[in-house]
Amino acid sequence: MVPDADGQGGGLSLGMLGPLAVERSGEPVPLGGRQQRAVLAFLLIRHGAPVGVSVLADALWGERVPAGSVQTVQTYVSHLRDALSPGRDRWARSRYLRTERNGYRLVLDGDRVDAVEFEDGVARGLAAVERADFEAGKAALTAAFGLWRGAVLADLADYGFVPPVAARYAELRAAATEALIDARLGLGEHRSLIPELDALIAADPLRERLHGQRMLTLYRASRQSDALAGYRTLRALLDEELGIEPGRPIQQLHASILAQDPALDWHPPGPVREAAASGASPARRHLGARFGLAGGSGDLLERDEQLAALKRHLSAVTTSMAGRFVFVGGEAGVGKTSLLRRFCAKQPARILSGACDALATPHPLGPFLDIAAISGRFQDVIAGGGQPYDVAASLLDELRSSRPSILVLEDLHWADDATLDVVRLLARRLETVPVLAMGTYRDDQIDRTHRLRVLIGELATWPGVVRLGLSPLSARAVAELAAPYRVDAAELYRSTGGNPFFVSEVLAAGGSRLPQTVQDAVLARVARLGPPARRLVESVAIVPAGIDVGLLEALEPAAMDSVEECLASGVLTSTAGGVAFRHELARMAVEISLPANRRIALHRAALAALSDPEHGPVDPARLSHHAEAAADPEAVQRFAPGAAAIAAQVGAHSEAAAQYARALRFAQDLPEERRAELLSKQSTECHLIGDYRVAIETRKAAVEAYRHLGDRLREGDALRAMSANLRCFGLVPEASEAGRAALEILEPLGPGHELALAYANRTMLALNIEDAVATRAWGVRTQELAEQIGDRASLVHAMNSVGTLGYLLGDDDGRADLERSLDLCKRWGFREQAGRAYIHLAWASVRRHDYGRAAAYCREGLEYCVDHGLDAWRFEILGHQARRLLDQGSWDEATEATARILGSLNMNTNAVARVLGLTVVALLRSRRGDPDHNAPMREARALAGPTGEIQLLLPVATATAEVAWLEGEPAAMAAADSATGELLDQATRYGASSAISELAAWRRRCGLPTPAIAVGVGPYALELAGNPGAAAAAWLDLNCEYEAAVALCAGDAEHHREALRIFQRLGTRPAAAIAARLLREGGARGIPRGPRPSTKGNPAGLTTRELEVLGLIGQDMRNRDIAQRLHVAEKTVDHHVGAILAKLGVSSRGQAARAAARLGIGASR
Amino acid sequence: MARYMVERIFPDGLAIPITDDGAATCRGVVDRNAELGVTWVHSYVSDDKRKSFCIYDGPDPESIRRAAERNGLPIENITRIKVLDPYFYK
Repeated sequence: MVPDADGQGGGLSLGMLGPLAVERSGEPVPLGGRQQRAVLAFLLIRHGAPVGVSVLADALWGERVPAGSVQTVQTYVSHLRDALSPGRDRWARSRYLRTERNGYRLVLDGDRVDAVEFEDGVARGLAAVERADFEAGKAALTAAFGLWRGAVLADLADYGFVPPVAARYAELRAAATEALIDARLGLGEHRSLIPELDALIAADPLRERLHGQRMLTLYRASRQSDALAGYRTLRALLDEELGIEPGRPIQQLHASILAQDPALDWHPPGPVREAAASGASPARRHLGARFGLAGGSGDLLERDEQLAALKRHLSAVTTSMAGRFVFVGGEAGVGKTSLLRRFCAKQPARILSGACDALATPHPLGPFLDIAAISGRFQDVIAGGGQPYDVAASLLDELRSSRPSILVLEDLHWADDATLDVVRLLARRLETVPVLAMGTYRDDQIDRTHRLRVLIGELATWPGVVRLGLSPLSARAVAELAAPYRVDAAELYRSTGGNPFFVSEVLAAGGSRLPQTVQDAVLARVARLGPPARRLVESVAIVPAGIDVGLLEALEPAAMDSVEECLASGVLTSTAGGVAFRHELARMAVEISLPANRRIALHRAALAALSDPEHGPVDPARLSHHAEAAADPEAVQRFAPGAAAIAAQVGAHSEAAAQYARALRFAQDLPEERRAELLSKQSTECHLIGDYRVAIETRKAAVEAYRHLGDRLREGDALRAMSANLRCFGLVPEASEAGRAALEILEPLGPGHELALAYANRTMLALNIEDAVATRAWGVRTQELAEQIGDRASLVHAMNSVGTLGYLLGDDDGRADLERSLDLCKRWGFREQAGRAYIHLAWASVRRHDYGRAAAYCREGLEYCVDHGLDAWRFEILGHQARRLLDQGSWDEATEATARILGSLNMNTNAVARVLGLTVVALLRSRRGDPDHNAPMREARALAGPTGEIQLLLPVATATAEVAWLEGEPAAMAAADSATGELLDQATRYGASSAISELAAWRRRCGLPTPAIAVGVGPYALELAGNPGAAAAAWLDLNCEYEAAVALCAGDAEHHREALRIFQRLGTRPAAAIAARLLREGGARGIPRGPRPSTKGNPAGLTTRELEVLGLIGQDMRNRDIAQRLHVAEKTVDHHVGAILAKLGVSSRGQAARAAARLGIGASR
Repeated sequence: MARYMVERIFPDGLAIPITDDGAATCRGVVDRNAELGVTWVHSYVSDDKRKSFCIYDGPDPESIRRAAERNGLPIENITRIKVLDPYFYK
């Protein structure tokens, strides 16, 4: 054997975390040229393994390996041997670079490689952080980072073999960085971490965990809003870059921050952590694993009372040095563990914690195994197979100290006998030891004979033993939790029954879906039941609202004995007439888990039992549910249409539409005629609730079906109905086409109800584009035919349209006709026509500036539509209402109205409502100088454009002009020019006088050429006639201050001064700037800056009158005296006081007076 | 969610003491904002405490105004803003 030329090993230090570097005893070793260094680097990466010469050549030259490469590599290796072992014997075997068959191997023995040390250090650091030894973790990781000198093999980065290696270490480094941050968070160094995290995120912005750590760090540094902002930034970033949502851990962290979960708070690492970690079940570890928090992120709303009780017990223990035992009971998932965690987290006492397991055969003394580690002696007793008496005695010895301890025993409903014996003995010796023992149990899972229930009953009268119950969350608390998510809080409360676990799981799973975790939890619970009880539970699961005893007996006669077991297990709960699942989610979980054949069999049985008249009155809605689930088409046809008719009759049009849709799902075998009828009815219901897409689709199918059947009359009638569907969706040209097609079919068939309705439809289409001549002509034809055949529906329909036209043109008879048609509709029961009459009354009254009547029409109309389920109609009225409020200066209320229109999820298709809402929003923003008015304007323009209806085009055109007037931008001006110009032509063509003067006035204000028009009446006409003062006075009579001031801008300096005053008071900065500019241009000086809007109000937004009343409340005056003093009715004062309390957010007059004093408002000012 | 800068003017100066009362005031504002989906990110206050520049996240300008009204805070101007970070230019 040839000895090594350089005997002493372990002298080299090789570095690849940076440019390749080799040192011997601190002295750098010269490594030669790049190719030569690359050879060493390649061998270093694979040190210990043989590397073939051809592989080396590939690494050096890639695909263009030159001739003689083997020799070249040999030369490099030879030079490297010289460099690594200077002065070696050329013929001796190299200590480092061994020749292998066809290649070389770098052998290191006791030498140092920075990458290896880094990996070791990181592994040690991660392990230490994992076991919460943050000091050791920080030390190891910090040392590991110290090894880095730069990018991995920075001098050789262009060799193909380097990037993969570099990536691997970069990944490791990133993981280590995160672990180091965890360690430092654990050590409470959150304040110093923020700048570092910022820099790390800047370098690697898509690394979610860093964002999470930054959020937690900010939160702990009391910068909650920054923490939340961090979440939004991450979310926006992920959305933009990757189109994904943040991962679940981050979402949960966000929710915890919003809830100010105490588990996020920093706690000094200590024995708590150790004990809890050893006793944690997998489920709890899962909860705790989120961001390495000490506790789960369960929410603790509505637990103040229980926390206060626990605090009282602990302080009683501390003062008396006698123990207490608190049994904490509640249903699964109600938050028992979270409560104890939250409580323990804040206590300085020593905490011992153990849990029982949900095993079929529980581990004897399970929870005490968890806490055995507290002392060697106790451990010996447990490990030595101690009897309960020994265990209890030994534990009492341990607890007998000068400082109180806290003992937590979780899930006692699963406890083994031995554990319960220890608990019993412990409870009886309580007075001798300063311990607060707390045992959790599911009170819905222990029946009267359960060992634990027997034990608790036995101990109930024992001194120092108390029970603490936890109830599910209230609807309010659930709503609070749901607030940050886009979730229907009422539905969430209903489906979860307020169970915090279910609530948080559903929220974490993103809302409505049934989370897998919930499903697992429910099924695990059902699985513990005996087979008959399980059958029973499955039967109950197919009946959504709970099952009555009669039906249950019919379904599961053999399983009735198991009802008690199901109730005791907590899966079911008893209701007035039967049993039900405790949570809707649990029911869904069981129903989904049923095999299809079993589910169908159950629904069939339910169907048979419920359609038996002996069972009670037959309920088609309920039966159609079972019929569909039983896949029984015949039964669906028998019950669903009937259920739909009943629902429609009571104004439940969504339910009616759903029932018709159900019937249509099973309509394959129906005669076509029947199917067409169902389609028509579904379309009608969908139209009523504003679901125009489906309304159009189903109506089209109905038209097709009737055409196929050769039923011309019904085909024509369906086309007429489709015309209305299309029109409300904003598809006006298509609507006209359908209306014409209907007539083409119906006219040859001769006079009849359908033809009269088709005429009425044409009247309406003409009215919508405000074509006066056509409206009157079609109206006359409709009325003649209607009278001829005595058809009331078409008569009131046409009367409505013609009356509306008259009202729009300023004709009081028109209004009277419209009102009369409303009365007739109500009398004859044409609800939808009555709703339409209200819409038209609102539309025309607002257009005519008839605001007093408009207010009443809107109010009555909204009420009527709510009462009769006319959702789509309601939103259209709301649109006119929003405009009325804007015109009348009630801008806050207008904002509320638009928010209701635009925020409504199922009412986003009604073109009129949406266009009105959007233009009002845009104007509110523009007038106040607020941002974001372009988007709503764009959408309104896109919606209104194709309709050709003046009622939609007019608000869009005038809003476009007003925005241009306020901004003065050339592009906006051009848009205003084309929008108002085209519409003015149309309005002139059709003789829509009210629109003409408004459009002309706006064109003149914008300095756009205005054609000579016949000047009508009203404020716009006065302004156009060159009399801005009179126009303003007319506006002020109508209570339209803003419009008055705008009109005054066309006047002289005095007018401008008055306009400025009004604009300043209204807080409309852009308009005020225009008035001020006009004044300056007129040579005026000393232009008043006016009171800032910020100073005119007061902190609570009270009106002047309310301030006055508040002042008098402050003087201890009673309402009656205040009424006398202010010369108003006492009822009015009551109203003011109510408003004051609401605005100040207080509940009594005394509090209001104090709040007033604190805010410096009221009598003192 | 859009971000807005809200300029406010307090003729008598703004005073939120760094005490429990001050904390309660801030929390009250945050809570009332939350009902409207509005988040007060943070604010800059002029040296004389008469003007503040508040960064808010919210669904629209109306929500910002409603939140201000509920909190009894004045609004001088609302501007839609985006972050420009000089260190993100490369």
